[in-house]
Amino acid sequence: MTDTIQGVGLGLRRQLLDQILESETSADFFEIAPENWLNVGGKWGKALEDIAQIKPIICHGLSLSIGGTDPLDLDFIRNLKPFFDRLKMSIYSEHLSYCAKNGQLYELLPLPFTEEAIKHISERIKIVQDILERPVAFENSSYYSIPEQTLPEDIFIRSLVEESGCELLLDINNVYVNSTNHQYDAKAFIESLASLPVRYFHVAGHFVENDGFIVDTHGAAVSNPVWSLLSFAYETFGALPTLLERDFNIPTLPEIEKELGIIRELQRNTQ
Amino acid sequence: MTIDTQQQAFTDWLRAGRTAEAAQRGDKIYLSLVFNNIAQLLAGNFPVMHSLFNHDEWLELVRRFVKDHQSTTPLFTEIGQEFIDFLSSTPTDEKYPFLHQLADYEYVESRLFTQVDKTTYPLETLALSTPIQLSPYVQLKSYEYPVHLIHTGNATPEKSPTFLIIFRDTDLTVRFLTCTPISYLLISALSDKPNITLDNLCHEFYKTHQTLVSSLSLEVLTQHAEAFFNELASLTIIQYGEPAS
Repeated sequence: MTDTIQGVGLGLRRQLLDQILESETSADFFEIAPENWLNVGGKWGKALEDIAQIKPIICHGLSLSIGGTDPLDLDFIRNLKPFFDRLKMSIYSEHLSYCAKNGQLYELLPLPFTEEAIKHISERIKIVQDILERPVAFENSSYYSIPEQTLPEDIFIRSLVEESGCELLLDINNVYVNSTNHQYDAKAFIESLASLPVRYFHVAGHFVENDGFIVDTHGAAVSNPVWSLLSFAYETFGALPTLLERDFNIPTLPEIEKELGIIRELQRNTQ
Repeated sequence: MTIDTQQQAFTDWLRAGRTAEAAQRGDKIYLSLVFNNIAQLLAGNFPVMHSLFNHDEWLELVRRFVKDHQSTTPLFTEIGQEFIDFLSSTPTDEKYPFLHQLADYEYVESRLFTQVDKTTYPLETLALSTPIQLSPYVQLKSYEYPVHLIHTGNATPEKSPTFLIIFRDTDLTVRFLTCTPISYLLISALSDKPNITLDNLCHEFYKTHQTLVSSLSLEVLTQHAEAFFNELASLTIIQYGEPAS
């Protein structure tokens, strides 16, 4: 049995553990990176168990390297299954990117938008989903360069989802960042994905450089254009569960609560 | 270009880390993301080591790690082991000759802190005839340098044989206990032979370390051992042996 999620979620950072356990947070669910928590006991393991007693937790991975050409780390994937079961996690999401070639680089690197990549990645997604016996939701990653492009990004994602049977985690900040850096229409992009099984949304803050180029830092408050785009996504897909990611310059919980409140307000306005 | 050759070329370029080289804006962003992320992960795993280095020295070490080491673990909690494996293939650092040992000590501490919970058998009263073993949250470590005393104010320690019992306490914090060489050998003997009684441990130890303990009688050794192990029991370092199933 797994806990399904709804409403507003928050990325669980270790800096926030004590605050979350000591005070009431309005977050309806939390998200963790399995690479930080798998095989972890002691103080952190206990805190995670305690939080899992109160609210549903879902997993958002970083090291799977689904688009990579190094062999999949099957031991790692097999170890995820009992971890998901034990903490009753209803969602495992990952990134459309790769992070390993002749070893890990621990960073989300850009994929080519080509037919060859669709074939390669969807085969790997099927293997992962078979082992885990569940669909995995893949996130539209932010990317700063494009190794090769024969297809627009939305067609690439649509083909990949249809070919592999995976779900989509639509990161609204990434849509904004990518559409700005690579000059496409963010709303048209979202509309183009309307038929896909989107499991949930991400929002986060970013950093705008002097010349307008944007880096997806997760280190600032969510910007106004991203809030507008989230609103638009709700109109397109309905008010799906939405998670706030904040990984750097982490403010206090009351500051974070303000942003969770905005998400909740936008969801309410959609219904 | 196939996806494989493209990824090979791009990651080769990233690992080479030549920041001055002309490159696309986006590719340069990846270069700084990769280095900053790994530098941050390692600084979190090795806070003392990180504090000793100046900014350039640290980045140079991270650059060499990214360039020369193939990390296989997907887990951020295990990247420290990758760094130790990398260090073991590098020559002794001239400025910080204790570096490999400090890294080992810091990693042992962090592994104990996050180690998966196991069943324990807390020792209430120690008797000579009670089977005992080490707690699952204990690591015995000997170093040539006093790694536990290194900090920015003591960054050039002299060599001095150091024997440490590093353990996770019941309050889930990690602590250490320094001990004498003979105590260290005694507890190492327990580590090699779990579920032995203290009486048998002392007998065997007395036989195998004749030259070392020749000035002592077996009775005196046993008395010392009993006092020492009582202290270890109060710190949850030793526990009852495995119950018969």
